[in-house]
Amino acid sequence: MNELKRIMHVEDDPSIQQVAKIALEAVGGFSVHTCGSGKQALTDYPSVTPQLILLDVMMPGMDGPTTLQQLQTQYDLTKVPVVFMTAKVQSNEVASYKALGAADVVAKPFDPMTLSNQIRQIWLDFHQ
Amino acid sequence: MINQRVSRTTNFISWLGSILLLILFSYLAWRGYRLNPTDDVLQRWVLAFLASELLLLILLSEVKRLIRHLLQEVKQSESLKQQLAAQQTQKYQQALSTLNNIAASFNPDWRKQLRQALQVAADYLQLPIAVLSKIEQQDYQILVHSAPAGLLQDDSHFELGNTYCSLALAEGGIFATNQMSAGPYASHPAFKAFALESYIGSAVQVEGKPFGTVGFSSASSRELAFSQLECEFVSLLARWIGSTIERRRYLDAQIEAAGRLQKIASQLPGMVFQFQLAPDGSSCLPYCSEGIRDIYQLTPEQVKLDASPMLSLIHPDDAQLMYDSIIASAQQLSLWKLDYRIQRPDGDVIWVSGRSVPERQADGSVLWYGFISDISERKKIERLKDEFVSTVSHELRTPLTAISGAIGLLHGEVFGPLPQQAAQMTQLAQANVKKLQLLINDLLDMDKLIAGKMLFDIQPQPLLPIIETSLHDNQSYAQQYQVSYQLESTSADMWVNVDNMRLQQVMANLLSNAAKFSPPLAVVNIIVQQQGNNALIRVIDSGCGINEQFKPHIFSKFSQADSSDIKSKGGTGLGLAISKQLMSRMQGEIGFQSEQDKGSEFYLLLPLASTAELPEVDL
Repeated sequence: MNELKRIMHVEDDPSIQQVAKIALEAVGGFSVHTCGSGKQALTDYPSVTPQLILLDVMMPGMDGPTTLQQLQTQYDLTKVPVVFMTAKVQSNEVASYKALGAADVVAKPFDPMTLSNQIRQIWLDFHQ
Repeated sequence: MINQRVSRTTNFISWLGSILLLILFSYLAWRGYRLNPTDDVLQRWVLAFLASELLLLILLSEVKRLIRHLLQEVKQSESLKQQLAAQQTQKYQQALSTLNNIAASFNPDWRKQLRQALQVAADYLQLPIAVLSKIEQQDYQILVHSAPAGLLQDDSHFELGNTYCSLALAEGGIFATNQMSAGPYASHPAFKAFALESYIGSAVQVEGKPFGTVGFSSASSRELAFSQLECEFVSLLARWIGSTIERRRYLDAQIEAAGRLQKIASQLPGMVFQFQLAPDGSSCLPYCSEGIRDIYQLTPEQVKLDASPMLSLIHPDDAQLMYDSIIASAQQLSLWKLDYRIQRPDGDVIWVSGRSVPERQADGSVLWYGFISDISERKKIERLKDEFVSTVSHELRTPLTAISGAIGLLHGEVFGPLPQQAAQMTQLAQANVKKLQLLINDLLDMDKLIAGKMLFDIQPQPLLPIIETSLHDNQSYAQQYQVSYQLESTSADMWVNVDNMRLQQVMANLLSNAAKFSPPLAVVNIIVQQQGNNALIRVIDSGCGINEQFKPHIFSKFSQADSSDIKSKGGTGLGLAISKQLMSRMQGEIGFQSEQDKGSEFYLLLPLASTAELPEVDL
């Protein structure tokens, strides 16, 4: 198993994009490629080849679940865990995201100081 | 027959007398001849015998005539009696037939019905004037009358003392005279005013109280006094009139009540109805207000005998639900309550809410009484509210995530060490962001609980790890308020059926409250123990306690003991209300005991998972 380095973060809100990028890069030491929409994620995926995708659920245009389905259709994600980031974390909602193929769910608001460890743990769990 | 018997009897007496005379004279002639044996003696006795025989025949003939005469008289007398009895019976029959005709008559107009009754009775009594009066104190009012044209008028008023009815009332019920001028009332003001020679009248009672009188009269006197039968006839008629007026009043009251109900029902926003389900499965709406036009676009008449036109309009997705709810309500005779959709003939789909109470009928059918109202607008508002809550939730949490993250990074000194005051400020900002986050969560949770949209993932699981996690996750509260949590467990292996996250939410509420209201350096004790078939979790603080006035409201929404607490302690006042709802959904209980200035103990009671629910463990 390779070490987790490249993360693609799909999020429409620029403030959260910025906070997450710093939290993951400065605290976790990852390399983060930020996409402002699901459509951009589909376009950028081949060039970025992320090891893990962090995906917002509620986005204008193409939402998180649709983006995931499109990515799954177009690319092989069997070794790329997709993690949803959302405020909607009722047990049924979490179960529905996992049923779509998500590896896990990170609740918003997230703690920027522990986010990297959380992501790293998900990466490890996914590859075990 | 009697004549034949009389003839036979007299003939028999005649023969018997002749034989006896013959024996007597033969004996006397034999005795006379023995004393004086001459022909003269015999001749004299023979002559005497013949003379006696002649006298006997004459006497018997006279007796026979007398008996026949007597018998004739007896026969005539009997015939007369029979004729009188027949006449009496005929009069009774006539009276009964008249009363029967009166009782059987019906006219929707009560005045017309009573007028017909007066006419029929007046014909029977052969008196041309009939009056039914109403009396109130000294006022006499002609209510209904039957008399030659122009003589009287309905609703005319007279002084009671100047009427014949005052006599009927004074006589204790019935008064009759066949010649007023010849009786003791010749100088009565009524006779002076109306000059009616013959009169028969009776008091009328309604609902056990004096109402008025019914009287029949004529300007001419009658040859014969009124008979007992005629008095009884008028008395019975008065009773019938009284009961007719009672019935009419009752009917009028019912009609008025029905009209009132109809008017009220027509103003209701929905439809009021009776729905009847027969044992054979057929159904109808015996009563339905005009509101059905607005709800189903049908008329009450269209569903009066068959409910199918109404039932066929129920939205296909709700039809089974409707059927099941009706059957359940009918079987258990329980309240029927349902929100469902109707696909109206014009194509519109509307939401309605129905509610009705069932009653079992003698014929085995079930009859519901209830109403249905259009709740489309409410449903639309609910949907808008849901959308609003969802949007607000997202719109509030997005900037909150960014703020929380940014402050977290600063506070985490990702960009280098902060000056001491700057570090204090970031800590302050972080704590308040956390409060804001909890506040939003509380509001959204309450909204979900009220709408029944909060879903639970209830699983059998060990209790102690959940409590330990809760304590760990809420250490920041303990540090903030300078208190410590101390866990004591007397039963380490208890399993409960709970939603892990929701139980942690309840624990977080109790632990944060205990920390908030405890003095600095205090210890908050958390005791986990078994109590019968339940797990008991106690959170005990040594804070200010809860005052008596607030105790009954502690689990109400937006309740806080003192509004100043919002500033001093923070919170929405929703925490305990949410906890109570969450515990209830997990089949548990939440309670407390508290003494002011000495502290509080909040406890949670959760049923232990049964052995069958526990996962198998390899030994």
